[in-house]
Parts: sequence; C-alpha cells; structure tokens
Amino acid sequence: MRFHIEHTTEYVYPEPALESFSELRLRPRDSLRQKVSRHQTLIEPGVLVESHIDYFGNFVETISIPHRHQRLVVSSACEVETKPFNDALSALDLTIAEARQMYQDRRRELHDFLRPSQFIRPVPAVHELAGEFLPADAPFAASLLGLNTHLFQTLKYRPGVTDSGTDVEQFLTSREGVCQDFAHLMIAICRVAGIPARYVSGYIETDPPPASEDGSATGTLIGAVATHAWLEVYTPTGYWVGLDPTNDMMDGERHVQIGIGRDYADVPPMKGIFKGSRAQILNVQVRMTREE
Amino acid sequence: MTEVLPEQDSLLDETALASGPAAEAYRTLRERLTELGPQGQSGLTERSRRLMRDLGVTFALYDEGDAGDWIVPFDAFPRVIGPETWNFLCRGVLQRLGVWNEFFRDIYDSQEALKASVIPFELVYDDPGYQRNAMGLAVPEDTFVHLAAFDLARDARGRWVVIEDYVGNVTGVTYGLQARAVVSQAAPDLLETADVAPVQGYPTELLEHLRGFARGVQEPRVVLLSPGAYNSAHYEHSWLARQMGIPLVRGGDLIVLNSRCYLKTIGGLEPIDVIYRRLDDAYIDPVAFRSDSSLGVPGLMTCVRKGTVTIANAIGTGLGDNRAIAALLPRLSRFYGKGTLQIPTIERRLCGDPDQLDMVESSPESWMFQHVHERSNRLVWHPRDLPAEARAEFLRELRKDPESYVAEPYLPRTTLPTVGAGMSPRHAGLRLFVFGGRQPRVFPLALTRHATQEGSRIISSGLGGGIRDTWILRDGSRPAGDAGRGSPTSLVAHQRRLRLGSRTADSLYWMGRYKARAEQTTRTLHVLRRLRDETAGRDQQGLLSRLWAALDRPSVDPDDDAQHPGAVRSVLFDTGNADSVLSCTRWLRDNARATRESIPPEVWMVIHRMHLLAAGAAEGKADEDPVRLLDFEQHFLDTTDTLAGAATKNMLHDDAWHFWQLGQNVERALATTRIARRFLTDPRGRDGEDAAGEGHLDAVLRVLSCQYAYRSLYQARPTAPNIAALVLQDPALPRSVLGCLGEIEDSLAFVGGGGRRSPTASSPLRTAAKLSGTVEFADLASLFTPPTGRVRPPLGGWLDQLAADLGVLSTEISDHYLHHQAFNILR
Repeated sequence: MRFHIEHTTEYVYPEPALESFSELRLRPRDSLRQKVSRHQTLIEPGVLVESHIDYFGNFVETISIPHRHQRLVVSSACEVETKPFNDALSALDLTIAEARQMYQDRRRELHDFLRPSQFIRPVPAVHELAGEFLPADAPFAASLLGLNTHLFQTLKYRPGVTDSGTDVEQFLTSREGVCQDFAHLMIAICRVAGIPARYVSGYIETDPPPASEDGSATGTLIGAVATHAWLEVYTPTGYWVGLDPTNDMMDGERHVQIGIGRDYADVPPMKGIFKGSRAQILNVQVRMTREE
Repeated sequence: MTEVLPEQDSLLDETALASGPAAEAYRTLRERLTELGPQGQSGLTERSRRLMRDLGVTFALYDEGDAGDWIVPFDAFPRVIGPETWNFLCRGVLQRLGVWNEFFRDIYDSQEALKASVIPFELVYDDPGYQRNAMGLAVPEDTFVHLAAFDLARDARGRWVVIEDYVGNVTGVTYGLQARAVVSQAAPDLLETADVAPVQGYPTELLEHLRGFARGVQEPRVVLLSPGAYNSAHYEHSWLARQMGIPLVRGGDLIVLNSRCYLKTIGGLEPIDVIYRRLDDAYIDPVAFRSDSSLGVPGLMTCVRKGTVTIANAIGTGLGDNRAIAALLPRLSRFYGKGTLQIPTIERRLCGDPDQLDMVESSPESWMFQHVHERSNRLVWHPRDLPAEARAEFLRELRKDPESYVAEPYLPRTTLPTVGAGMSPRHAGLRLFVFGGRQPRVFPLALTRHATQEGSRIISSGLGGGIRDTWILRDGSRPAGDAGRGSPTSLVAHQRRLRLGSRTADSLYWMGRYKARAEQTTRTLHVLRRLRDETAGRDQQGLLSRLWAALDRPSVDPDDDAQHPGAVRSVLFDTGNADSVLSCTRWLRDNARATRESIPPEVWMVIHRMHLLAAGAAEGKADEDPVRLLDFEQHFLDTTDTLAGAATKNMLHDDAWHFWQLGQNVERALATTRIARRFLTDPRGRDGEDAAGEGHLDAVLRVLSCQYAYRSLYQARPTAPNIAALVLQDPALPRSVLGCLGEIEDSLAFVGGGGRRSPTASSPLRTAAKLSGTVEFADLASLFTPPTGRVRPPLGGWLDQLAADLGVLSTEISDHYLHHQAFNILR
C-alpha cells in the first residue's frame, strides 16, 4: 500500500523562548516491509535541518533556533510504501521455554530488549501477568496473541488520562491509557518472561469514521489522531513481529513504522530544550491517505 | 619492583622501601625536618596552612551549609620517587592507558571483545556510562582517552598495583601542582636538597596536548567546560583554566548553531574547537542525554557527530569508571595484543560472578566493598568495621544486587613520615597523570595524599585527607625529564585571544560594583564615627543624620545614635542587608570565585582575605567595641587599597580588567552623586558661613577622601560650589563624577563600544558620552541659584536626574555586553 502522510505539530511558548535545540524523529524507517520514497521536514521559523542515524537505526533530524521565538511549527510529509509480508508468528510450534533456549545464541544482540529500561520496570504486577499469560510450558505464538487480546479487552483506550511520562505501574493502576501505555505494558510482560520485545512508534491507517448517529466508533482503528505505538517481539526464527495490543491485532500493511527503541524514551517524535520558556503543544495534525 | 612485604595489614614506610637516590633524598629530608624540632615543625605546618588558605586550595563542602570551604591539610614531608621506580611506573601506566583507549575504540565500534566474550557484555550494556549515542563516532587520532590518572599501591607481595583507574574524568592534578608551590614557598631550602623534576610547565603542556586534537583548524580554540562554582572540584577547574589561559565556561556560555559550537563573548560568538570537559557524559548535552540537566550544551552531540569539535575525554569514556571492567583489564590487554599488564589491577572480585560472590561472602571481613561504577566516597563498605546488624544488612543488599558491587582485599598500608604529626607515619596514596594520544606520555607530576589520623586509611580530600608534594627525581644520565619536549612557554601565545565570556564579564562588573560599595560604606561610617568623637556632643545631629542617610539606609532612623551597635552592625555586618559591608564582600568573593580563572591569584588572595576580615569582625562582634571597630574599619580600607593595587599590578589590562573597572566607576559615580545630593543641597552647607556648615562640607570632603585635593586646589575654606566643582566636574579627581565617566568611556571604547562620539558607538558608550557632556558643561553657578520666586536651587533635581541617568547607563552596559542573545550578534 502507498501512503501519503502529513504530520504537523505546532508548539507555542507562554513566554518567548530565547534559544531552542530539538531532535525530531519523524521520518519513517526503511525496512524489508516498508520503503520511504520521499520525505521532507519543514520548520517554521525557517532554520537548517540536519540529520543522522541513531543507535537503533532511526532517522533523526536536529534543529537549532538561536533567536527569540514564540511559536514553532514542525511539518513532516512523506510517501511510504508498505509491502505485504508473511505471518512469522502464528505457525511457530514451540513453547516459551524452547524459545528462550533458542535466544541464547543471540543473547548479546538482544540484551537491550530483555532488560528493564526507562519506562519498562518489572514491577510485581508485571511478573504476575507474565506468570499467568507467558508460562514456560505454554505455546509461544498462541500465548503472545492471547496476551495481546487480554490487554485489549481488560484495559481501556482513553486519551488524556496518561501522558508521555506515565510508566507501567501507573497504567496498571489507572487501567486507562493510550497506545504508548499498552505497548509499554506488553513489552514489560514479554521481557520478564524472557521474550525480547521492543517499542515501535509509527502511524496507522484508520477506517473512515462510521456515519452512525450515536457516535459509536465500532470498527475504527485507534491511533490516527496522532502517532501510534505498538511493539515487536523477536521470534526464535529471527524475525521481529509486530503486535498491536491497542487494536488487538498483529501489525500489517496499514501500520507504518517511524522508529524503534527500548521504549518511548528512545523514539519521541520531538525532544527539545528551550531556554526561557517551555514549549506546549498547541495542535497536532496527522493526515494519512492511501494512494491507489 | 619486587620488594617482599609481609602479608598482613601492616605498616610499611616508603622511606624504608626506597633505594638509590630516593633513599638518599629521604635521609636528607628526615634529617632536615627532624632538626627543626617540634617548634620549627609546627611553624612550618602553620606556614603551609596559611599558604594553602591564601592559594585557596580548598575543598567545597557544600553539604555543610554556610561552613564554606575546607582548607586541605598540607604536609611538608614529600614523597620521593627515584628514576628507576619512575620509569617502571611510567611504562606500566602507559601500557594500561593503551589498553583502555583500545577498549573504547572497540566498544564504540565493532565490539570484538564482547563478541569474543573477553568480558561479559552485560558489564558494558548495563553500565550507565555506556553511551549508545557515541556508537560509531569518529574521534581525532583514534583517541578516546586524552587524559588519564591512576591510583597506585603495593600489594601484599610488594608489587605495584592499580587500585583505581581514571580514564573518563581526571581530577587532582591541581593539588599536585599546588603542593609544589607550597613547598617552594614554605620550605624552599628543602627543594634544593634533591634534583627534582619541575612541574610548572604542566598547564602549558596540557593546553598544547589538547590543541593537538582539534580537527583541521589553524589556531584551535580550547575551553574548559565545568559544571559551575558549586562543584566540589571547581577550584581545580578554574585554576587550570587560568593557568592554561583558556576560558572556563558553563553549558549556558556555549551555543550550538548549524553543528558548530560557539562561545558567547562580549564581542559576539566565537567558534570553539576543543572542549576540555569536566562534566560527565550524562549532563553534557541535555537533548542527546539527560533532558533534566541544565548544565550541558543542547546539541553538542551534533557537533561531535559532524566532527567540528573535539571533546576531551571523548563521549563514552565514563564507562571506564566501571571497576569490574578495570578488573578485567589484563584479559583485554592480551586480547588487544598488548601483552601482560606490567601493573595489574588490584585483585578485585566481581560480586556479579557467582563463584566470586561465594568467596567474598564466606569471609566478608577480609574485603572492602565498593559500588561497581559509582565513585562516591559514601559508597564504600568495610564489613569488618561494621556492627553485626549493619554487616548483615549490607550482606543482604549485596545478595539482592551482586552485580552492583566489587570487593577488594586490604593492601598493606604504606606510609610516609608526617611533619604535622611529629614525623609519625601516616598512610599515603599515589596518583599519576598521563597524556593519551598518538604519543602518550607521563608528566613528571604526581599527587600524594595522606591520612591525617593515625591508623586511618582515609586519604580523600573530601573526607579530610591531606596532600603533600611528590618529588620525581631526575635521571642524571638523561638531559631532561619526560616533559622536556620543546619549550612550552611560547605556546600560550598561540591560543588566539578569545574575547571575554559574557558571564565572566558580568561577574567582573559586579565585583567592581561590590568592592566600591563596600569601600564607600566603610569610609562613610568611619568618617561619621570620627566626627562624632571629635565634636563630642556638640549639635551635629543634622550632619550625622545626613551622613547616616548617605549610607542609603532608609530603614534606619536617621535620629538613631550612630554609635548604637545595632545600627552599626546593620550597616557593616548584617547579611540580611544586601548593602552591608559583609554582604558586599561576600558577593565580591562569590563572584570572584565563579570567575577565578580570570583573576590573578594575588587578586583572589586579597579578596579572600577581605572576606575573612569582614566575616571575622562580624563573628567577633567588632561593632561592640569602639577600638576594635576603628581597627576593623582602618584595616578594611587598607585592604581595599591593597586590592586596587594588586589588581592594577597583576591583572592584564584587557577586557576583564575593563569590566572590573566599569563596575567600580559606575558605583563610585553613583556614590559621589548621592553624597553630593545629601550635603551640597543643604542650605546650612551651601555657603559654609557658620561653623556647623563648614563641618558639613568638611565631612563631604572626608567621605569622598578629597580633603587634600581640595586644599591644594583652593587653599581656602570649603564652600559648596567649590566642592561641587571638584567632586562633580574635576576630571583629575578619581572619585569625581566626570572622572568616573571618563574612565567609563575609556573602558567602553576598549571593550568594543566603537569609536567615542562616533556614529558607530554602542548605545552604552553614547549614553556615557552624553552624560559626560552634561556634567562637564553644567553651569554650576546657576544650579546653586534658586529660580526667581523659588527658594530651592535646582541642584537637587539635577543631581537626582544624574543618579537616574547613571542607573540607565548601568542597565545599558548589562544589556549590551552581558545578557545579549544570539540574534543580536549573529550576522
């Protein structure tokens, strides 16, 4: 599928910022399953945009604005083609214990995705969920899909309850959150069970809102109001497969990846330092259109 | 180096272990110092202590609230290292340095050592010092470790071992240099007893070394990036920066634009090529690393990535703080083809390894435990010294998280005779400093720290340990020591003179203002009290209250008795009063401390003494005893003169000097205007016809210390118009408003204000020139004449306006040079 994606964020400062420096992670990554044919980031006020690739292979752009400004608009536009790919998970016929055994050879490469990280804390509740859903003798594929469904069914998607600093424990208490919280929680459970898991930030194509009068949003994929987030687990056969607990599905052609990392802290769309004043997001717009 | 030592926690004196020239030097030292006798020894110790205090060799103990800095104890008995031992140690530490550098090159590239399981990969990946952001970054000359240090000791078999590696952040070199300075001043004859390698070339060599890592720049510019004045090592940072002649900067002094790093100076943005950083990786760039840190430079990593700036030591070397990795250095050395380490790491046990954990747990009292990577003095545990309960508690923690600990055996304690302890032995440690790079080398400089308590092993300065000099004896057979590479003295000139940093200029400006304010307040109070004594109760109430008001203390009742200790105390010593002499002196000291690298030590010493004088008088309640009060005032005023002299004589008359001068002149012009306003507009003082009026006018002359100037000019009784002409308009009088404005104009023109009275002049210079004209051409006679139908002459209003204009000038100077923003100065 070919997508045209426009992502615009407008920041305002209560007081003019004197100097600001920011890192942006907005350009979708190239991989076997998606190819970026065009990407452009526009900044207002106009400044030079520089770029590099980070430790996890993500595309990073940096901007510095050395003069007084009270408003900052970051617009990213891209053309991405996602390709159909095989389900590398469902057909796996082995137990979690067997899978763990098979990871041994790649322990070093997978280490980052098995350890706790800034947002991924192995709190007791996570251990309980791991014990319940991912016991050693359970089948690998079915258990992961079962956990994916369980989280979807028992936790509520509700924007505004959590923020980008919410950790797993807070989410388990509130039981309401956004895609980032769903992804963090499931990553934490997988890692505790010895299954390598990483965070994915990206976009998801949503169905047009249903025309129903009562406003119920049945059938609509959640995520596209802004960016979306899910996770990938590593299979003993050497593939990273995507699970989207917010939508109770595996990832597919309608998912476009921006970046990967241990958790959100490695792939925030924007990380900046503002001297003089703190930026507040005034407005975010993501438009994702499929090109036939 | 194979002396055989008994295997126990015994005491071994270095003087007994030495041989050859070192043994000879020790013998002479012991004789000389013993000859001094107890009295001579304590005199020497006291002299050293005073020198340490004056040099400001202090360790900030900010936990202690207002206790301020702790003067590091100094001992006159040096450690001596003979040529043979020195050469062995040099080879050993250079080999270690080579292994460390290769390790970083590998870890931040292909990680062969981890792939081959030479060391467990978890040690690296789980260490907070492992910087994923530094992966794949090219560093100039493949050098990660530009500077390193190693703490050495002897193990139970007499071998030298390294007990601590410093390959990220090196500290302590300044103490080593200062120790020599103290010995050469406190006991110069001692130094002549041996052929000791000189150390004073170190800062220049360090600068030359750092400049060598700039990429493709003709005249590289180096700055020292520090966490600021509240870091315990600030003394070292500022001292080194000053000795190297480079700016000491904080994160906010630098800015990144289009992948280039710039220093904000009074003349605009200056590109920087090498950053000698004393700030940990985690804080160096709040965007790439910890975003909660305000210490670093946002975007600095983009410069590193583009190769426009060199960071020394390289980003990622904080990983070298990991003691478990250091313990495995022998394995890494073999893996990287660098052979068996000549100086191995102390036999350190990794508690994260189950076998080693079992071993240390079976006899915890034989081991000292440390955190695996935290370098805090507090994260050290001695189970053998812990009460049973605390020991059990520690062992529980250890079991819970063994990866966080390493254990080390207790080494024999080697000691040195200590003058401060009547020549008794005290445990002493040794640190060597190494330059890394293509041609690594060891400078013949070392730091010897010692325990101050009998039987103690505590040598850390932060915990009360002392320092002493280390003599590296020159090898008679070679022409010069290791450092004899070229003549480093010519090199400082190569550092193209950078314009003064804006923050430093700001501090110097305020130092000038506080100094002038403290001086004027003291002088005014001094004159006030003398007048009171002289007039002995005659009707001088008006005069005194006016003088009192000239101190600008509206909160004090002008009718209050000036002798009243409470009022005097408030003016002199009340720290709640921001204008009190003690407050001003404290601000002066604090600003000086924050810009220590811009101030010659001679000037710092006087400022430091001035603060001690005021603080001491405040504590001793000098205000309660007229004699001691008089003594304080006189002494304090003398010290301000000493400060002026020391500054004139020792400061380069450069940008820094001019900001210091600007502050003083702005403050003086304001003070003179204020005093003129209080006295010259008084009808009683105007004509000076009666005795009381004359007294008033005399007081003005005394407060502004210009009696002699007045007499030699007028040879007549003081009159208000004459005094006004003198203190306002005479450019030859240093305290006159016109004199001060002239100086201000000169300074502003010097610091880049553009030509005087030219269209290119900066706005502060234009304002100063305009004010000069106003004062110079003011018709004083008419200012003393009331307009028709009015009683009051216009002088008062005119002086009020002048004071307000001077305030505007001060604000303009701040805005223009000190608080500028990038957009003001970018093309």
